[in-house]
Amino acid sequence: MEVLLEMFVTFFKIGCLAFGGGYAVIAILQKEVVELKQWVDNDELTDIMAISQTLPGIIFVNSATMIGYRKKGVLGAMIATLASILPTFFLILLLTFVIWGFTDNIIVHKAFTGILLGVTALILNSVKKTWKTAVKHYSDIGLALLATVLLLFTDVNVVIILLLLAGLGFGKNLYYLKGGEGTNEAP
Amino acid sequence: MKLLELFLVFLKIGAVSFGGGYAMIPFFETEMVAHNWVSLADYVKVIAIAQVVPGPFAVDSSSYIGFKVAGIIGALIASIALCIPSFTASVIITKYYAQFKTNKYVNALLIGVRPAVLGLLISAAYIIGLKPLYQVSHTFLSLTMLKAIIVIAIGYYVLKQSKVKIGTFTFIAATAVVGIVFF
Repeated sequence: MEVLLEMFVTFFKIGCLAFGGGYAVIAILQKEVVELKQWVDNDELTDIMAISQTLPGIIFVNSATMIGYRKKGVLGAMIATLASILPTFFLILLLTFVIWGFTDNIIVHKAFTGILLGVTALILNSVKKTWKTAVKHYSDIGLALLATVLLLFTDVNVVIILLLLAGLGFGKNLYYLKGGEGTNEAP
Repeated sequence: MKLLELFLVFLKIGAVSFGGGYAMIPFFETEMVAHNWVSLADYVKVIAIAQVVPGPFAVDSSSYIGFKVAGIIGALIASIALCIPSFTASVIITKYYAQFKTNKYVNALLIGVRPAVLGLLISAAYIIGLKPLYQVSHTFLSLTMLKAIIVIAIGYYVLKQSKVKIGTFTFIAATAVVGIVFF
C-alpha cells in the first residue's frame, strides 16, 4: 500500500515536470525512478524506453505502465499510468478555460500562429530523428513516401493507411528475415 | 451514446497510434473533424497552449476533445480509452519480454511500421503548420504562406544546431515573438 502511494506521488510529480515530450522524460525517469526510488535499474530502464517507443501510444505513459507493473503488478501499472496522465489532464483543461477568452485577441492570435510554426519545426526535427531508426533499407523510403502521399493527397482514412503500411512493412521484413542470418533486426 | 462513441474512437486511436507524440495528430484530426467534435482552428489553439503544459500532448488532445463532447466525464473517458490499448500491450510485453524479444513476427511488425510513422509525422507537420493558414485563405500562393514556410525552415535550422542547445521553452517563446512581429 505504501509503495502504491509512493508510486502515485512519484509519477504525478514526473507528469508535472515532463515538459518537452517523450524523449525529455528519460532524464527525469532516470533520476526519480532509478536513482532515488531504485524501482528499476539503468539497464531495465533502457529496455523499457526501447519497448515504449515501439508500442502504440504515449512513450512516457507506456514506460510508467511498465515500471508500475514490474514493481507492483497490474495494480501498480494502473496507479502509475493514471498518475502520469492526471497532471496534464487537469492543467490543459484549466489553462484552456482561462486562456480561451483571449485567443480571439489579435496579439494572442499572432503569437499562436508563431508557436504553431515552431511546433511544425519541432515535428520536422522529430522526422529527422525518426528517420535514423525507421530507414534501414531503400525500400523503407518507398514505404514512407507511400504513407506520406496517401495521407496528404487522398481521402483514405488514416487508420486504413496505417494498417496497410504496417502490413506491407510486416510482409517485407518477414521476407527478408526468412533469408536473413537469424538476427532480430530487419535490414 | 455520445460517451460510448467517444470511448470507442479513442480506443481505436490508442490501438493504432504507433510512433506516439506528434505522429498521433493525423488520427486526432481525422476523427474530430469526421465526428464534427472540434474544428481544426480550435484544435491548433489547444496544441499551442499544450506547449506550456507538462506531460504527453496526446493527453492534452484527448482531454480537450473529450471535454468539448461531454464535459469532464468525456475528458476522462477519452483519456482513459486512449491509454487502454497500450496499457494492455505494455503489461503483456513486460510479462513475456524474453519471448517477445526474439519473436520474428513481433519484430517484423514493430520494425515494419516505422516507415509509416515518418508519413504520419510529415502529415502532422502539414496539419499544424500550413493547413490552418490554408483554411483561412484557400490558397498556397500568398505572402502569409511564404512567411510561414520561411519561419518553419529557420526554426528547423535553429533546432538542428548541435553547438547551441536551445531549450523547448525558449524556442516556443521565441516563435511566439516571431508570430507577433511578422504575422
